[in-house]
Amino acid sequence: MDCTVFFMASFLAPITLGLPAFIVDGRKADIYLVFNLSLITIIYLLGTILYFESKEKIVHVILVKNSILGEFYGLIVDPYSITVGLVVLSCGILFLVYSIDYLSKDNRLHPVRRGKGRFYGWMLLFMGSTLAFLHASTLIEALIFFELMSLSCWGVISYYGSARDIISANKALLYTHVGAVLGLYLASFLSLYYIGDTSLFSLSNLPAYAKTELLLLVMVASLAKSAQFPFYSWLLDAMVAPTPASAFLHGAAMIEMGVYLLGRIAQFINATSPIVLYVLVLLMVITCIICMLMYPLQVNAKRFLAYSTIGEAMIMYIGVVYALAGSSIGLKATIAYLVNHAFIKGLGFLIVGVFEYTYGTHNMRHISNLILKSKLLSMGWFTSIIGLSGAPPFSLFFGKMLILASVTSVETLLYLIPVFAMIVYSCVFFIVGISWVNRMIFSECEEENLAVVTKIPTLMKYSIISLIVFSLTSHFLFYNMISQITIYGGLTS
Amino acid sequence: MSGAVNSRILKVAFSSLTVVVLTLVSLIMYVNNIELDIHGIVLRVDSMSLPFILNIGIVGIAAIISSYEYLRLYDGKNIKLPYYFFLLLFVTSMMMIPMLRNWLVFIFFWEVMTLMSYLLVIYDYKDAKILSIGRNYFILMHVFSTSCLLLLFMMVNYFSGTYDFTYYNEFSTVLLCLGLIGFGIKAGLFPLHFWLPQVHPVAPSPISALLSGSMVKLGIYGLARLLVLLKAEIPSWFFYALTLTALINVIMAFIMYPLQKDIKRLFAWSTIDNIGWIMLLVAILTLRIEHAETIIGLYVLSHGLAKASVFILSGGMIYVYGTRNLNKVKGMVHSCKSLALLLVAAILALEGVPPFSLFLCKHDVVLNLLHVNMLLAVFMLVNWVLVFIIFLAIIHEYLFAEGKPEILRPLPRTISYTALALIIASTLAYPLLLMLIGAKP
Repeated sequence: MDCTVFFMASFLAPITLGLPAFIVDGRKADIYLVFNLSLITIIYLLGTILYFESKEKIVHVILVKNSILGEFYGLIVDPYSITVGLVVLSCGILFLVYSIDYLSKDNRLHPVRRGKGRFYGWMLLFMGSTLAFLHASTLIEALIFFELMSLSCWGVISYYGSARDIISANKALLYTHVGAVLGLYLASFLSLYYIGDTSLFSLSNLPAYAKTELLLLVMVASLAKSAQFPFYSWLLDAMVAPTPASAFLHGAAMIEMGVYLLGRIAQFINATSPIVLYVLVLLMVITCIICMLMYPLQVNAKRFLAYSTIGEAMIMYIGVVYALAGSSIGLKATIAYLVNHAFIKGLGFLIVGVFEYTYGTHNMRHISNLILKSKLLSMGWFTSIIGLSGAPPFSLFFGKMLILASVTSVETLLYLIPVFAMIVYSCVFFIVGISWVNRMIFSECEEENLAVVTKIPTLMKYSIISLIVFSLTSHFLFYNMISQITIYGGLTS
Repeated sequence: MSGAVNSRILKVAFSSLTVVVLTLVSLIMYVNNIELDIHGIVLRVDSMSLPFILNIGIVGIAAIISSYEYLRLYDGKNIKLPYYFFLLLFVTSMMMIPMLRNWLVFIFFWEVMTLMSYLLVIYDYKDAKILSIGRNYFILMHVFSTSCLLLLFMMVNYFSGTYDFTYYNEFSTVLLCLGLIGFGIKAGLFPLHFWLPQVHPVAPSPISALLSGSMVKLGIYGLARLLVLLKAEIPSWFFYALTLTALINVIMAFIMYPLQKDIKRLFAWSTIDNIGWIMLLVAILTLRIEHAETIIGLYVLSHGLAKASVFILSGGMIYVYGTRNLNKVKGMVHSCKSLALLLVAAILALEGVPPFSLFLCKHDVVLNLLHVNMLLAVFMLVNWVLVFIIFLAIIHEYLFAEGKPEILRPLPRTISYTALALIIASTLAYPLLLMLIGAKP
């Protein structure tokens, strides 16, 4: 059987079957969630196995095609999408399993008594639309699921329902929607206007000047989605979301999809336009400087991690810049960075979730002497902070080395700027991070009022353990798939 | 209590056995010229890396064994860090570094080494001062060493298209600058030496032995390896810069010796001094003088073993008297004779007195410098004698002085025997290593 059927099913299942989750609650919602998750996992893994058995490099099916819009709806399965798909799936499962214990009345910061089902419903929709977005084969299709992602993001951010939550959720929706309107709508229109088709495969037929315009437009949508300057502030307000949702948003879905989109276009468009690179590099450097200035000021663990996400997404764009400049390793580096970052960032958020659950705070100043309270917590926090700064043996290091290796076609010194920015950025993050690690894990605070031994609920504990394992091994697990990623520039289906 | 002691014996036995096996394997790899290829990671031991591996292996075993009693100092403190796990990872990653033939894997193990050294330095984390010193050390390493090395390896990859060791012909200036900073800070080269006298005293003594005896030497290894791989002509400024910084190292240590009251700080300055000596050898290496590599290896091994023995004995002093302050142990020979005599022997070994190997090494350095610059050679010779006199004065002022300091605990055998073994090894190091290296065509 064709593997595309399974991939179709893998995102149609959560989008449709996820809807009943909105009306169930409590234990039933948990069971329904587990059922849904196992269903998606089985379908997606079957599809992946069938894809790798078929030994085809890229599988492309056209489902809807007409004369006005060209290829309207299709599906692409290739290593690029499958790698990210598996990350979204594994992160999604781990974070949702974690949230079964997290959303309870024992949570000290946000006790939840009813409405668990609503959260699961939004999250399943989020996962489904993300998976669909990954395999989209046309700009219009990408746009549809891009907007659906923004919508479900709105749903999870506003979950707790206070006025501030709703304002933050509206802001997130507004920013990403404006990005989509300015970017993807216009890009689809442009593509239709010039060649009467929005298929990714036809993008290389665009005239050269149109390619530059299209890249600039898509860049706007990507930057808005991945919270880069000048669209970065929605991500900081989105911190009001429940922590497992934040983990998903930062680690595997929303932010990464912006990078994924621009990388996808770079993969197909077969163009090097210096102007795009200059604009992108300039914005990246500004983003980097903002993050470096803001790090030392943060005391809220979630905001600290949010700035880190913005900065790490900036690093992922470096690979895309080099790919657009003609490097063959650029996209591999981006995806390697994305994969490794997902697990480590997710781990950081889940640890913060435990802080909220047991200590009722995510203020880093109120947490000290973790090593006495829980070995697992201190190990996880150490792993995520040191790992995020790109130090071995944690796998983000390999992503960083690949990005350094992708600097192969430097024509002007300008292209070296992002690499320098990355190194300075990592140093600043490292300095701030290690200071917090020292303070939170090892040192004893005088105003000690927290419980001496911390009990972590079982499911939360196991998600954290598996994320620690993933953050040590993810590069080796995904290396084979990442090394198969290639640039298709000029390929016709 | 006996259960805890038993598990500690098991940990010591397991870790020291692992290190013994690793050392033997690398020795066999060297003698039989075996090249291991594990999933594309090539491991090879050549005559340049052998002394470093032997040094790390022997000092590693000594550190593990001497930790057994030394850790009792921390017994009541409820410390939750897995000491032996970190120690084993630290030693293993250090032993891997000289065997590697790929910069990517090199920096991986290099960073694991730094991370583990940080975790071991802050082992006594209940003390806020130690915690902040450890943090500053880690930050310094990340900012200077890691960043510079990442850029260095990026350049290397950019010019040669691979992270594997190959010969480089281009841009030697940039590569050398980055290498000098990135490896120099690890080695404690002026002006990046200031972390050494701060970090070494606060670490547990077996860890100081490893840091000072082995880890700083890997900075030398990296720089020497880079120089060997650079086939282009090395600019003359590099020779002058290296000689100058090495000389400043030596002079500064000479000035600082008499001011030290803390025994571990004293020996940390001695490390800075000896790094100056080795860096002069590395400077000679840039002139492509024959056998410079061999002398570096001999010096590193002899000095590493002697330095490890003095640090382990300082640990013994802390264990016996509960202090690092030399003023409080005046007349040590009257209350703990074995410790005092071992310390004297170790200090003599460290200062290059015959029959210890360091004498032959320093002699070689001076001889080689004679070919380069007469004045430099004479200066180093005078410095050698003067430093020896200073240490003789220190021995007389503190160890052999009047008085009888009070003993808190008896000197444990693990510490005295490992120190003795290291001193003996330091005596035999020169001829044995020369035989090993000479045995191969």
